[in-house]
Amino acid sequence: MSKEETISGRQLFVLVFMTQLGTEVLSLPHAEAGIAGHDTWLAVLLSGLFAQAGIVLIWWVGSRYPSLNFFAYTSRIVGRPIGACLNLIYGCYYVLSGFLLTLSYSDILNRWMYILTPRWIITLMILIVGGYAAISTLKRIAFVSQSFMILAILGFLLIVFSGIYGFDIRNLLPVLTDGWYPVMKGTYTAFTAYVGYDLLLYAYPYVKTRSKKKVLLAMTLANACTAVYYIAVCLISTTTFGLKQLLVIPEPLVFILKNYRVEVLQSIDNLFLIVYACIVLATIYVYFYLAAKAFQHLRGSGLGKQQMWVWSIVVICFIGGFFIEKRSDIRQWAEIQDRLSVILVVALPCLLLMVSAMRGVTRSSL
Amino acid sequence: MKLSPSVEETEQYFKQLFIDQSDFQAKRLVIGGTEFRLFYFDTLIDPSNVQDFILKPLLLRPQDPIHEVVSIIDYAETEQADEAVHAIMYGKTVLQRSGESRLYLLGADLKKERSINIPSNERVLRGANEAFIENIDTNLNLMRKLINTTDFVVKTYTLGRLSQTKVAIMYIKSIADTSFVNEVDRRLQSIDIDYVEAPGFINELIQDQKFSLFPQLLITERPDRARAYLMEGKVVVSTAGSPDVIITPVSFWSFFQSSDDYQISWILGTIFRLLRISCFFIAIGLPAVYVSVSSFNPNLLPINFVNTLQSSLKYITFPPVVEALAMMLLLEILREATIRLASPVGQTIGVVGGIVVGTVVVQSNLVSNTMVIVAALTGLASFIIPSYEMSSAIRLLSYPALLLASLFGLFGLAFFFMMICIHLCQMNTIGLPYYTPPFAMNPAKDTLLRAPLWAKRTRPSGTAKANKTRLRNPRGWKR
Repeated sequence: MSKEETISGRQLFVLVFMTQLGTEVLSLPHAEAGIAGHDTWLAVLLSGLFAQAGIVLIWWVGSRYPSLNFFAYTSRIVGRPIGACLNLIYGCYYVLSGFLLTLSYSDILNRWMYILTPRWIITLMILIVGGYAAISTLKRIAFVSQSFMILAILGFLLIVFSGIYGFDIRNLLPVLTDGWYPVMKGTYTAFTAYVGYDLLLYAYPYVKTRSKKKVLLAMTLANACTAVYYIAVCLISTTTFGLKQLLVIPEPLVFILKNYRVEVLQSIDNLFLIVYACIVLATIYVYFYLAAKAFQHLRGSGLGKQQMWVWSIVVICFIGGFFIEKRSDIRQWAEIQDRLSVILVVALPCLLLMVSAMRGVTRSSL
Repeated sequence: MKLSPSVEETEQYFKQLFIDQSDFQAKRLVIGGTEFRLFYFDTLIDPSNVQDFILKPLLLRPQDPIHEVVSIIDYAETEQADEAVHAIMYGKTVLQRSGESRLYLLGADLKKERSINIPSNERVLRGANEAFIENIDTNLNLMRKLINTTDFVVKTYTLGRLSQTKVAIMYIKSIADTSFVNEVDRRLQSIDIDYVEAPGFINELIQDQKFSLFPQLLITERPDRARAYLMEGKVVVSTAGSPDVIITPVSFWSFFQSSDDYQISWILGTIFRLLRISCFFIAIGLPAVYVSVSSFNPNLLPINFVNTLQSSLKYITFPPVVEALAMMLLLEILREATIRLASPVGQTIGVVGGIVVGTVVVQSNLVSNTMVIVAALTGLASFIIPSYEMSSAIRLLSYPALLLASLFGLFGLAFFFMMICIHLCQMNTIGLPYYTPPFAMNPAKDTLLRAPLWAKRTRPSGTAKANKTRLRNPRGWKR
């Protein structure tokens, strides 16, 4: 296995922020409209707090093994066969995540801009970029994310400024009409939007900061920025559209942008959807990278080359794309992925932490 | 091989060796009973120097030790035959006194060089107006005069099995990271080739990525620019016979810097830098945007503009891609012709390019008006980049961008830019990342923006690890 280059705290911040942002920026208001209703923003805020708890949990697990990445210490905690199994599960989960993201973004592009282009071409292009980025080291991936981040910020500004038209704060009221239950349910739905912070599982030993508390700080900042992004999106969508409208509009943001006119550009929505590729890809290549690393750690001394794993993942995803054609199919798979992510990102690290505490593996013994 | 004390035998030896060389001379002298031999190539020496500083003093004091007699600073002694052969080949005059097995290597070689001119490829408005020339000694002289410190190190090599070309690397000992200097040293030492064509051969043999379009080593003809990079801990490679020096390791952003940026106000410098970087995007993407807007996403632009665009396309028979390809190819042909054409006929290009391309092509409805503007703008945008290598690379990149845009519209262009970005992120030069994101608050502060001098207190951390302070007490008079 090639040696990993270290990254700085700032790079970790960018990586996590860009990984957390995904297609949910477009779809979250619609998905939440049927669950949390007016209180979408509250649900999103709450799930941000839960994600913060998850970050602390992962940071805690990581600090028990400061010189090893997650895939390397799973087998230290639970033994070789189970550890390898866990790595396999994580690898498959990351492949699935990257795959579904690719499909849903190419679906969006297909519906909004490229109605006549076959979807597999768009999928292939996204997969090629994702695979090409994923074959390098964590530091180089951070470079790419840092370069793409300017577009995420531009997108945010665009969303905020376009949301000024037709903004009506009264659409938010009344708060908590149906009590806390729909909000809590919405929190669960919104939680997947924050998934991506699990990058810390792998990246923890490679972050070079003055103290490991700085790692937690960078993660917290990234999570907070993501929360602000999502909350802004949800607030703008729920205040611009009524609840009934949101239920039938799958990507309300694009509609808002369509309404927004500048003298020199007629359809900002198209431009935004293109720029949005960067935000989506920043997530896809991190997932592919993590999947390849998980598969490589199936054997202690490293199994296969990273490049080989990445390109085989790309081929599998490309072929898989032909089997999931309908939007409802993507939805179904996404629900499976939602459940998986709660299990793998929250429950399993928690379990591993307990097991490792029980086995009394302390820092001094490493 | 050791030499014999007999001058006849030495003469025999050299004559055998240079049997086919008609310009080799073995001059026989007898002064006051002592026999002397002078060996030299008469095409390489300066006869008046030999006359004045070797022969005349010898006539007066034939018996005294040679180093006391001759008044020549480039003086050496040897007893090895092959060393003497080398010296003769380099243009030295070799002297032997009968009865001594020692040869005296006297430098009275003819120096033919052109004078130092103003830089022709890297023009600036303010700043020094000296350029390197083909003579490496003059180049080293220029550099030494610019940097008067004992830390400035010049190391020379001889490369090329047959050409025996002198190559020098320069760096500043107290700033440059030794690992980079050693790495450059290792790569230069590994070159084993018949002759060295600089900077091309060295460039190709020491750069990291073999298949990248982007230039990885900076080539300059300006001593002041070389000094600026030396002060950041970089290594400069100069080769005999080439008026260009190679600077390494440089980042992607170095190719957008010009010496002018540092002579004018930092605000202007920053604006010009931004202009060059936006031209990077224009040169790659403009034809692609034109094609995708006119044939793929016309809804992107306001309806009135699209109408104007479409009206200029009304009588054009070819699709926009073919139009764009033809115009870009034409531009490339014009550029190449301007370089290759002899200067007296150079004006023809202006007539052909200006009148034929500008007017007739449009009038005959072969290419639309808008496309002419797009092509002209693309060409200009690429020529704004200070480095010739980078500007050519960028112009070449606009072709795949064009093809992708014609197939997939704007998303194809976005795909292409993302691939370029990832490619840049993965590149290395001498073990350092080639491209660092500009928004990452790079300590060099010299990427997208040209930061004011008082803000650039530290050197780039990549190349100058040990000695970071560049500026102490900036604008200290205010306090």
